[in-house]
Amino acid sequence: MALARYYFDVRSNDRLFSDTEGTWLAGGMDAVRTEAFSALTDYAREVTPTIIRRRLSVEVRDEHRQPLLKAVLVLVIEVLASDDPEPPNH
Amino acid sequence: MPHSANSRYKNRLLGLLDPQDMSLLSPHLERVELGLRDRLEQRGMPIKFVYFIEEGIGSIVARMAHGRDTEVGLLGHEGMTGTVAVLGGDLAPHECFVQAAGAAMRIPIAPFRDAFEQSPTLQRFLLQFVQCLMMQTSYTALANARLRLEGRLARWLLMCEDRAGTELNITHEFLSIMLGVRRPGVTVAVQILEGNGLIRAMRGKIVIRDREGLIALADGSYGAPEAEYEKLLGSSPVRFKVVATSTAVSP
Repeated sequence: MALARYYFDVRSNDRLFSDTEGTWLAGGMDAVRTEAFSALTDYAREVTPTIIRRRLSVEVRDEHRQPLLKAVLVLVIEVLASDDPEPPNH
Repeated sequence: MPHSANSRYKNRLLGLLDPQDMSLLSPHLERVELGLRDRLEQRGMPIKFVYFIEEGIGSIVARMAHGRDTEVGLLGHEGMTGTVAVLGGDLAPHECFVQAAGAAMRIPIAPFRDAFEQSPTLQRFLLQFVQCLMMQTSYTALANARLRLEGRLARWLLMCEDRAGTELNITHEFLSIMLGVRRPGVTVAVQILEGNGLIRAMRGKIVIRDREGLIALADGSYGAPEAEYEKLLGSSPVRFKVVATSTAVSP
């Protein structure tokens, strides 16, 4: 399948990293899905776990910058036992 | 201490050779242009020439199936290709191609081997460079295992600056191949470095702004191989020496 140009933007909570140069891929939407998903899992490995909830997304646009797909990963830390002697009111 | 007779050679190894060893190599050395993406060595094929790089950068790239090539070594004016010949082999273990265009003094493999076999001092000298290259490779392994992509990128940019200067012509696509990462990761790493004032990124180009900041981000993975080179060969491989600035603290 022919090479085509896509734009892979990465969003981490409020921060957007915009793909300014574009990415050339052969293999159509299958390749786009693989690239988006792999990029998510790569990036998830690198984030620092200081934030309780982190939403990562890779948003792919085509060569005309029209949205094609979005791959999303949400990382959550649920605190089950508190260090506080007083349990919180619910 | 570089020998004055060798000062016309911009390659640091040639500049450091004693005159006797230089006389074994010089009749066979020829200056050649290094064009972008020229292949200097092909994996599994006999080495034809040894290149002492004067300008530009050579990348040693290890191959894996399904397009997972990764750069495993960087060579510039401080080094040579064909280190497998120094260790007694004749087939290139990896691809080696020109990553930044420049020039080199090259010698065909047969006269190189003859010179090498004749001179114990040449053997010892070139083996010291091989030790430096092994050290570079081992720190690449460490960085790839332990650092986040921003740190690996910082280290790679420092190594390129040592060999090619502050302005580097590189695309994000190219960076993803060299660092062995998915393309979107490069977008993020470059913008993090730029956001911290360490580099300026334009289309197809990266300009280094804060070398000390990059060294800190590389977190110990840059510096040791460079120091080993200076210790073993008596000359720094860094082209652009960082001038230490002292900050006056007012009482």
